[in-house]
Amino acid sequence: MTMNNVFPILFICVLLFSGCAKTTLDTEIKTTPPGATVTIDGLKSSQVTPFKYPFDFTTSQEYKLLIAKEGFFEQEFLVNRNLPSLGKREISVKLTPSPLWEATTSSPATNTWVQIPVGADLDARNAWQIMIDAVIKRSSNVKELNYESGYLQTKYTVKKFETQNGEFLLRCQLIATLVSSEPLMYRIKDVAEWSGNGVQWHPYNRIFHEHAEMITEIQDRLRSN
Amino acid sequence: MKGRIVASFLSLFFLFSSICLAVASSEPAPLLPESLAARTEMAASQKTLTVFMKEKDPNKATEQLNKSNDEYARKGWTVFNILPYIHEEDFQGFFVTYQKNLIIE
Repeated sequence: MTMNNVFPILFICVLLFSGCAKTTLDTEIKTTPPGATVTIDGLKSSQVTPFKYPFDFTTSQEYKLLIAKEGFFEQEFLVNRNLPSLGKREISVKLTPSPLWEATTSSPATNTWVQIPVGADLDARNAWQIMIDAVIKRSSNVKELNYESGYLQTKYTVKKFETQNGEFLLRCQLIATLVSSEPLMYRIKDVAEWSGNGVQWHPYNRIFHEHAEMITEIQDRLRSN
Repeated sequence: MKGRIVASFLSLFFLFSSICLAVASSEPAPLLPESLAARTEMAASQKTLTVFMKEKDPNKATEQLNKSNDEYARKGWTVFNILPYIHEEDFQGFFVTYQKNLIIE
């Protein structure tokens, strides 16, 4: 192969490789704490943080990231080529914990009826007394109590939270009703709602710790006795 | 014949379960206070008040802002948002949005 033949081949190779130059910027998206889901320009990522994402600023000037993790406030984050941390090939976002989440816990009775079959050794009066005892111990605010119809309803426990999204009210109310007397069976539900203005209330997916304890005690004592 | 009945029963079962799944997944997710959607809704439904504090000197503006925040706090309002107003690269003042405090009844 003569030198005259090598130069055109080299020239073609250079042209080809320059066309393949990488335009994406592999960047690690990190959150504190990890395990958050990230929606990038409306597309939810299948991975949770930390993970690498190829930002391509030739196709899009700016990316909008929506970062979400249960128990933390959702955050929006804009990424453009001027973002200083892109030099280090990483984006780090600190998530703010929700005080509502911290003051509450999950329960199967949250906004859903849960049936409690009463143990065979308990009669209706004893079962009713156990239920009242478990409720009064933690909340003296009983709104309605009727042994004949087997209906118990507490007043709302309301708490106020100051958060980065503004002030919120969270309220929980326990309701218990008799399902059948033969066999003896009750059902309970804890209504959990939140509001940002004290007028409109939306369902919340968790209940206050003391309400969860109340429900657990009712279930344990009615079943195991 | 028996096989056909079983097959048609199974296909009906799968059809019914897939319909149930589709209905369940089409239910909108509940609005939670931790979401950005809740923040937007709150901003629209809450009792808020926005004032403009005109002051070109940033130091004086800060002083004025603190004084205003204290005055509103005494009347039961808290700061919801502060936005500096810059016109042709010059600081002109602040837009301050106050929000009426919630009361537990």
